[in-house]
Amino acid sequence: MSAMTEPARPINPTPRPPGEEAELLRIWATPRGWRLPSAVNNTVIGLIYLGAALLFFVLAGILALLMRLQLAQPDGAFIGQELYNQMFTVHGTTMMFLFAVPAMEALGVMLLPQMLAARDLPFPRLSAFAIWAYIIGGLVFFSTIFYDLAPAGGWFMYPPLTLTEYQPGDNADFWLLGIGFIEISAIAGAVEIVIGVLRTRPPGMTLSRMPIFAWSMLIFAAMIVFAFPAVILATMLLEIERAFGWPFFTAARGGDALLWQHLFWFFGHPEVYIIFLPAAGLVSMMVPTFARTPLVGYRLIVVALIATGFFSFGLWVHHMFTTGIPGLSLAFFSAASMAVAVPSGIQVFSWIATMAAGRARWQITTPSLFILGFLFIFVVGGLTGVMVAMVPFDFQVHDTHFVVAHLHYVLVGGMVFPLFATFYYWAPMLSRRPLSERLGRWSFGLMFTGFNVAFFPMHITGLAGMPRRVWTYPTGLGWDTLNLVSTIGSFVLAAGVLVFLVDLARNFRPSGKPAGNIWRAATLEWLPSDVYAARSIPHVTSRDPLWDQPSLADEVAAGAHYLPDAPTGGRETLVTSALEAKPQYVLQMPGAGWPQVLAAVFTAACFLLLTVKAVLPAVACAVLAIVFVVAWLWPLDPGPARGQVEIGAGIRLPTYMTGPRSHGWWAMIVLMLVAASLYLSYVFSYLYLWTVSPDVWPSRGASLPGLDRPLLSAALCVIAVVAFAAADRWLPSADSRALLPSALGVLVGCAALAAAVAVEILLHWQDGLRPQATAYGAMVYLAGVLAAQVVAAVVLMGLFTVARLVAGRADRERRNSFDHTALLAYYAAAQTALGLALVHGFPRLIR
Amino acid sequence: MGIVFAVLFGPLVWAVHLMVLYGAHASACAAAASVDGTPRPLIALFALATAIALLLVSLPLALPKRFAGFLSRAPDEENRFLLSLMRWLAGLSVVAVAANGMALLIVPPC
Repeated sequence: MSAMTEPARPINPTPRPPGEEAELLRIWATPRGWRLPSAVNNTVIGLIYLGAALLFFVLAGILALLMRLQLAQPDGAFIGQELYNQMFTVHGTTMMFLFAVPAMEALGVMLLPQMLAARDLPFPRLSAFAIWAYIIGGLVFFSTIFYDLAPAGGWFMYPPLTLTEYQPGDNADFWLLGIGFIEISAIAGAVEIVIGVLRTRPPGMTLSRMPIFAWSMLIFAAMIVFAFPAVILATMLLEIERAFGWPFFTAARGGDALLWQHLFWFFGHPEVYIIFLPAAGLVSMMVPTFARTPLVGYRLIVVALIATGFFSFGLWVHHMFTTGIPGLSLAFFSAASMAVAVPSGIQVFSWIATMAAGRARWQITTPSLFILGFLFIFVVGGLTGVMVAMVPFDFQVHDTHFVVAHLHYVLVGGMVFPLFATFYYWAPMLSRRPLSERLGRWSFGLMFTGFNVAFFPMHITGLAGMPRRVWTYPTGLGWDTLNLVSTIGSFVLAAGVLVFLVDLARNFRPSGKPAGNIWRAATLEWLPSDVYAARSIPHVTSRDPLWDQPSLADEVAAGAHYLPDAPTGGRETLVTSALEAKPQYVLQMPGAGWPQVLAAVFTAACFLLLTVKAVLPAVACAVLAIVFVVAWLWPLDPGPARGQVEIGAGIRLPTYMTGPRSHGWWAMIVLMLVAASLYLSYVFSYLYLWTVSPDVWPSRGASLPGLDRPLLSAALCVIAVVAFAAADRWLPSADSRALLPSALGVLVGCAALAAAVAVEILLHWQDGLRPQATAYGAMVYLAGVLAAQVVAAVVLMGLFTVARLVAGRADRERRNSFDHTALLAYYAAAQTALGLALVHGFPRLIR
Repeated sequence: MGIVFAVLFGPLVWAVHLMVLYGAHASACAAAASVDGTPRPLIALFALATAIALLLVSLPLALPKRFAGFLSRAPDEENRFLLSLMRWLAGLSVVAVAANGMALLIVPPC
């Protein structure tokens, strides 16, 4: 159907040898019963991930219903003020951090390998670690509402309200450490998705043939890589201020509460699009199916996704229009806020054009109804978005229920409705039978009606001046009836969700033999599949392979395409080139296991114990977490011993890869981008606080530490780089035991980096600078803290590498663990050197 | 990397332009507030920065073949696709940079 086709290629002779499929079933078998948490198959852990996200959606929804009951009448006394504050904080936090982003990552984990016809994502245990960390951390965080330990500062936790002076106790710390921890799990998922999309596509699936959902997940993950570090830094700063008194946000000592808002919204606004873009990608997958025609404007949709991803980073200040920012700055961000409507509009028009271009009448089914509902609600939310992008209007409605209405129209319209469409559309891919059309239509009708009845009146109450986050209001302000209507609507909406849950309980039965392609869709996730995913990995020749190659499903099921067997005897998938998807090597993957689960348990325990200031048990848990990470990683990096294997059509590929072509190398680069992004947020914070409080920075005539010790630190960084480069040259060959020079190089490199950081911190301490005194001191020491973090990771990885060298598990050919350590060490040296330049150079520049 | 750079050239120029304008302008206004003045001359510099940014961001539209050099590693079909992405993204970036630039003409600086 699409124009971009080339001849299909049956690859292998059929029928395949007997026992081949049974072997695949054995290798990819999912653990059952109490062993289920040890599973790593993407469909299993994806389903657990999605189930947990749905649970948090329901829990946060119940909090919303209770809040609506409180607001149903003026002078309500159903919920007390303090509990109400905790409830709206936990509701918003749970919806944004524990439902929306995880639900999208869960769909990525579950659907992407199927859409790319990969056997699994490239780091299955990393996905499992991220998921269990999220579930444990999320459940503990949510449970704080039951014993009066929940935070009460709103989902964006603005200081100074959240400083210890105004929120003593551990409540705010649960938010800061809990959410910071869950964000780390989101980043782990993002690394997995970036590498999965770029490197595990089937042969022939070039970038221009990639499913739109894969494009949207790639951009989603890239946005997480650049946006989430800002809020991780923000939570670090606030927690450090709460715990140790470093004044990042206290104006009396040179801090500024607005720094939090800048960092939070630099994450928070892209977050809206992080939630929306995958949902838009899902819609772009479903619309062509129901219109029975290829997506109109594929290229334009890709353009719109990339542009939205980029422009969303230029909008953060529009959440801060009323904070006293200069007028011209407001204009920049107002303009950018309106500009982002253009790519969003491109997508909406493409979907409408696809519906109009359909060769058959648009099919009315439950998923298509949810899509139509999404279009209506999202467009209304988009229009009110353009309204609040106008500065004078925003001044009027800021912090009113108008904004509550706007954000729910955007987020529920832009994400929840597509998500429910997704549930109904993709359920047959996993379940023995599809969800019920009759119950689905009831669910849609109740949700659509209930949503609009609940939230549309809030536009009016907002314009009438009703502020958000008030636990009650007096009668006679014209808000009474509209609030009652909103409450009724919220219960209708909840009834729709309840109908869906009943449908799920009655009909959703995960199975190795699912209902299959009941919608007659065009993409690869609908290939016949089992626990091993598709029987063979197809050669793709167009964007809509199942429409353009009608025999493809049968060929794949018969094992006529790539990798119909398990030539290495274990779990494996194909790694292809990022641009043209040419087969490069066979990736050997780990199977089920407990180390990643236990690592997640103890990492979560460490963070939670830190929250309640139980430092020693927290350290013990951190040590245990490291032990289980080592147990998880030790059997990986198998080396080239298996040589090359045939994947079909006489093509032989290596089973091991090192250097820039390996997927691990790519993952390290992405991880370094995360670290760099966090560090750039720090540089921004340093310069920002200087512009706000230049008086606490060293003034003209003030003495500064001499340059001798910073130069010593810089020299130590250079020594570290040289040591790692030398260790690289001295890596022993596989048959040699001359490992001492190389191991020594790694240890010297690690020691030099640690010494560089120690010298720097000691210098400031001996010079009399204290981090609690001023924002300047706090920022200087923070550079050391951030450097120490990265160096600690290098030291741990360095010790791991040395242990592998000693155990004969690393050498010149089997070198991924060394390469990854060296990459991070080079990055750590560069970051430390940049920190030295900033901390010692900038004060000299401004004196 | 060359391919990523070429395709994202327009949005990258937009990002740098916004960062420079916002950072310099906010700093200048903070400094001006402390000496009770308005940094009018800076506006001329910002206008110049906007003109340069517009010129740069238009390059993929005006000289696509020069930029296509970055994409030459890709096969023809992919090359056309990536070139098309690059030009559309550059076009949207022109709109975004121009929208920022227009604010200079109509809004008081601080």
